[in-house]
Parts: sequence; structure tokens; C-alpha cells
Amino acid sequence: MSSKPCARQWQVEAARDGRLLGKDLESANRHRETCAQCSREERELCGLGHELSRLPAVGRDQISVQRSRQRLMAAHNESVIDPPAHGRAVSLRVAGALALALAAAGWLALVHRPPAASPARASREIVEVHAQAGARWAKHLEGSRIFVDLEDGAAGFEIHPHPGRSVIIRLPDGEVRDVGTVFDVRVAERHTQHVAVSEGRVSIRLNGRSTVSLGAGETWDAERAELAPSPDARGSQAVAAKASASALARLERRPPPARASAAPEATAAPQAFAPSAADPQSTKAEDNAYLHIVDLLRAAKDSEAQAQAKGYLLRFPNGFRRIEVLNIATRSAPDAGTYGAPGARQ
Amino acid sequence: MTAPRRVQLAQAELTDAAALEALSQGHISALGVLYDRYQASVFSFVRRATNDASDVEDVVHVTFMTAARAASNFDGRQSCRPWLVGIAARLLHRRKRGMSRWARALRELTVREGERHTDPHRELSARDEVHRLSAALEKLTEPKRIVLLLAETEGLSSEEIASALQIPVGTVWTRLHHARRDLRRLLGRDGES
Repeated sequence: MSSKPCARQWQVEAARDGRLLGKDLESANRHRETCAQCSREERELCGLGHELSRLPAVGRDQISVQRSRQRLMAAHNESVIDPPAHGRAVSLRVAGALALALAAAGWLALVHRPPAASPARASREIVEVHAQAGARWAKHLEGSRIFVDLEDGAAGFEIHPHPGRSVIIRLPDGEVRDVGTVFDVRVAERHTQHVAVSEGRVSIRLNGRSTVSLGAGETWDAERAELAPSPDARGSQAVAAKASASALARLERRPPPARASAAPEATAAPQAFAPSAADPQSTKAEDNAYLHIVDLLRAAKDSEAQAQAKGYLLRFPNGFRRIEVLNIATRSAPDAGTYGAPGARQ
Repeated sequence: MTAPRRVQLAQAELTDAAALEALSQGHISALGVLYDRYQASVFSFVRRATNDASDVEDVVHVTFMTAARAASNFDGRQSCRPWLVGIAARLLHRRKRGMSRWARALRELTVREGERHTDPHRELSARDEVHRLSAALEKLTEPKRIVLLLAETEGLSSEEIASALQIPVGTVWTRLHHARRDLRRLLGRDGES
């Protein structure tokens, strides 16, 4: 026969461990005195505790105790005499942590560094120089500008636009400024002989000459440019006419070559200053120049119109109004009536 | 030339509080006094609290070193034994939480049953009640065993155990209850046999 466990039996252990206080504890103690099950539980718990407390101590032999004592005293003596040892350990840990943090910061900086942060890398990536054998050239980075000095020979340049970086090809007698382009330059005897643009647009500034802008598919040859007057000699009508005629004789436009920077000789089709008709800015400037000439003729300012016509031919040798303007520039007695109404283009 | 500093400590007259105060002031010999007084108790507690005998010496050593560093924090009670045992229990508790427990668990798995009973004294007293209790105690998990020993053999209250182990007092009660229940079952005193 088994009796049902007392519902308050848990209070025996709770009272022993201090979980019951005040009236609850008094009530549990009163109940225990009258409840056989709770009394037995109390005896068993007490007996278990008594047995545990009387467990024999687990000891060591005397030699082990003495050895441990010496070890303890020596360690404590060291910690008292040489306290920085602990401090050094802490310092080493701190230094290690700092070194780790710095390494992590450096790694992050390397990973997130913008490409422009390294000038050498920037110049290497922005300008690619494909020089022919025998060409003498050098590349420099000065501030935000990348200079490529081409002293002699031929070289192709592939230039990738980069914000905050401009590229200038320095030539013995001038320079070529790039706006994001692929082009070839040939230099001989300290003079620029040939510039051919495959992509983009460059600005050519040679000593004693006006700035020339070349777009994709356009070339510039010194041989033909020699025929054009320098700014100092623009007043010479004969030279202007000769230059215009020479330019007009070579009005052929060639299609833009492939992107690969071909050798200058291979791409050097004899063309001079062939503006791109697709360039809206160039077309607008050309129209304005032509209308200005017409206005001057209408105002009977023939000599001035003639000078402007020569300027037009120099700027737009392949322009749409080149025939009319050539006539204006070369005739001695202009007929204003001919130009009364800017008409159809040719 | 000054003579080396010599500290004379009358071991018999020195109370625990005085020894710890002297220790906090740099008197190295005071640590020797405390060690001679309580090393057996601390060693016995640590040896019973953990199944890994190889760690016992180190835990006892670190217990006294920690006590020396924290001597100024002693609350001045008559005996510092519960305080020292509390430090040892905390060290065991922390060690238990460390990664080394996995290594020890692996070692336990590799120890064959026969290797556990190579002590001749144990062999002879295998039928002894004390040995049965010790064997049952060893089978408890370490957290339960530590709490039970602190409560029943060291006489610490639940609050003192909680403070020593830096755990909630509710956790102490739970572990105590489960430790007693498991121990009684292991000893065949759970009322079912």
C-alpha cells in the first residue's frame, strides 16, 4: 500500500535552502512536525547533507604540499617585487590590440582607397603610350596633370577620361591636349609632323600657330599646315588663298579608324583640319562665322569681310560654305549682292 | 646600508583578517600562514568539485594567488575559508565555461572505465558508503556538484553561493534541487527502490 505524496513536501527543501521566509516558513515548520512524509524528507535531506559534510578530505602527501607552497610563495614574491610584469603583459596585450587595429585600418584604407590616390597608378591607367621603336618619350605627373613628353619618333596614345586629371602631350614645338581620346603623334627633327585622332577630341597648340581642334577621324599634317598662314601672317591674302586652295584640294574625309592605335604611318592619310560635321559646336561656329562675313559684305565692309573669310577658311577649311567664302577671300571686288541671302549649302 | 626587511608573523596569533591585511600590505609570509591553514580544505573542495585531477593543483595555486591580490577586499569575517572556497568555486565555474571543457570532455571519453579505479585505497573500500557517495558525487555535473558542495560541506548560504559564483540565486536553488534529486537517485534513495 502506497500513500499519496504530501503536497507540501517541497517546502522542506525550500525551507532548508532559504526560499521560505516569515509566515510561510513558520507554517512549513508546523506542518512538518505533524506530517510523517515531510518529516522523513527532512531527515533524508539532513542525512545527505551530513554525509556530504563528513566526506573525508582528499589530501596530498607532504612533499606535494611543500612543493605547491614553494611554488605559490615564489609566484607571489615575483608579483610583489616585479609588479610591472603584470603591467607589461597588459601593455603587450594593449600593444597587440593596437597593432591589430592599425593593421585592420590599413587594410580597410587599402581596400577603399580611390584609384586617384596613387599618382603613379593613376598616370599608368589614364594614359597608355604605345610608342614605336626609336621613339623618345617620357611620362610625368605634375599635380593633377599628366605630361607625356614626346621628343622624337611616333607614338600612339590611349587616354581614358578621369575626373581631376588632365593629360598633355608635350611636343618639341607645342603640345596636344587631350579630352579623352585615342590618337597618334609623330615628331621629327624637333617638329610635330603628324597628328591623327581615332577617338575623342584633342586640342593642338603649336608654337606660332593658332590652336587646332581635331576630332575623331581627323588628322593634321605639318606638310599641309605649312601652307596655312600663321596668325602673324594672316594679313597676307595670297598665302591665305593658297592655304585655302590647298585645303580645298584635300577635302576628302576618311572614316574614323579602328580604336586600336595604329602606327602613324598607317593612319596618316593626307588630310588637314577636317572638322567633324557631326560636331554641333563646330557647325554652329561655322554658321556664325559665315553669317558674320555676310553681314560685313552687306555693310560694304569688303576688306573686313575678306579678312574674316580668310579666317573662316583657316578655321573651317572643310566647311559647308567654303566655296563661297573662298570666292570672297580671293576676289578683289566683292559683289555684295551675291551674298545678300545666305542660301543653300553646298 | 639598511638591513633587509624581515617580517615576523606569529602564525598562531594571527587571525585570518589580520593575515589578509598584512598580505594586502605586502607581507609575503602572511600568504604562507593562510596557505598552511586552508590549503587542505581548498584542495579537498576543488578535488571533489571537479573530476579532472590534473587541474586541481593549478586551481588551488590560482585560488591563493587571487586571494593575495584581493586581500584588501576581504570583509573581515572570522574565517576566510568560505571566502577562499568561493574563489576556488568561481575559478572552477569560469574554467568550466571555457573552451577547455571540450578538451576535458574528450579526455573523459577516452578514459576507460578500469582506469578510474586504480587507487588501491578505493579498490579496498569499494563497498564503503563513503565511496558510494563519492562515486555518486562524481557523476553529477560539475555546476550541480559545486553548488551542492558549497552548500552542504562549506555551509554557504544560497546568497553567498550566488555571490561567489556570480550567478542568480534562483539558479543556485535550481541546481541545489537537481543535485540532491540526482544524488538520491544515484544512491537509490529516491523512494522508488
